[in-house]
Amino acid sequence: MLRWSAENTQRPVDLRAIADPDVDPLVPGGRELAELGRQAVSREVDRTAFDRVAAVLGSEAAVDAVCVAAAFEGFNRIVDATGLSLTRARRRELVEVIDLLDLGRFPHAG
Amino acid sequence: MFEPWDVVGIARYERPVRDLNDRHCGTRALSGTDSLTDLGAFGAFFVGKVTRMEIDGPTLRPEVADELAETWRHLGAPGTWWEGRQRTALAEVARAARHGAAIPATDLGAAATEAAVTVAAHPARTTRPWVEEMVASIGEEPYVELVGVVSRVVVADTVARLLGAEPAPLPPPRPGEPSRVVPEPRPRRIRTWVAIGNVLSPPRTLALVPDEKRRTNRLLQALYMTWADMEDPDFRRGDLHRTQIELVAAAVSYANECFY
Repeated sequence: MLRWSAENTQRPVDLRAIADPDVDPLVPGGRELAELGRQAVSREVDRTAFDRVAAVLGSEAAVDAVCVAAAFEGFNRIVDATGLSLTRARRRELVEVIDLLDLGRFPHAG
Repeated sequence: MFEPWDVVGIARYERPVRDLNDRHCGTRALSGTDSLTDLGAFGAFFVGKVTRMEIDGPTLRPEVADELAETWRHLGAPGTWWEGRQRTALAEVARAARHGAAIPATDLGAAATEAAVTVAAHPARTTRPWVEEMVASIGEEPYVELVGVVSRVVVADTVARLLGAEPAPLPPPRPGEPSRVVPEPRPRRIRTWVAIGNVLSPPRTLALVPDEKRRTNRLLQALYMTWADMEDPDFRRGDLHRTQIELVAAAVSYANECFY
């Protein structure tokens, strides 16, 4: 969805930033947003992650980003626990992204 | 003077009253409250009647606050296949597992406990044989409801944690029998590990338990965007553009090793 949104709105994005914190996502506030997402999954949350997003994008945007991160903590569990998988066609569409981020090593990549 | 309303709120800062009829939420600046007597820890979720509220700093969107409040109200109530006390126990187990704490003793049974722990803490470790084992032990519909309950607790706790708040106290269980409503027609199992029907998309995954599906989808749409908005690559939520939203989503999914 990130690549799709960027391509359809002519906005630059470096997808490698999803996997590598050292890569600039080229999205405004991208480093901070990606780190907030990573923190959502960690057991011990770095509570400054929110403040760093707020410093760059404003507190309202930071709250919205928190909500997105929380939603995907839910989506990920529901999808994985019910065995929802990509169709073959969708997987073919995403093969470049899968290779770029080495997603084939994920347990459900099967 | 002010009408009470139900609210779930998280706030980390203070600022003067903006609009007392606004359904935004706060924690430190709440005053004139009713039935919030023991929920006053800084940063906690609140569920209760609020008669006056002062807000400072970032606040949850009203629709998000409403859905979080509804999630918490519903958590302790009888579900479709689990009693209120069992749903609360599932939440307790899930919360402990997610945060690496000791798993509390409950009467859920080994399979339900294992399912709640795995979905909460290690969702990517699920496999078809494992799900089949869980379903054989607790039933397919109860397993689906469990997935919904656990996921919504994780969602609510994640909002709190990222905002620097403590997770909300679990609601007291309410008495009553599960409704045991079966959808008609019952969805078929096609490619997934549980029956979701022939539309293979996240909104359908809990189709075996319509009430859980409806509530979970409402919460996730409030937090992320509506299914209709998902069609718009240029969608904005406030100051966040779709690319920024999807970057957060991708970072979470990558960290969870979620292939989908």
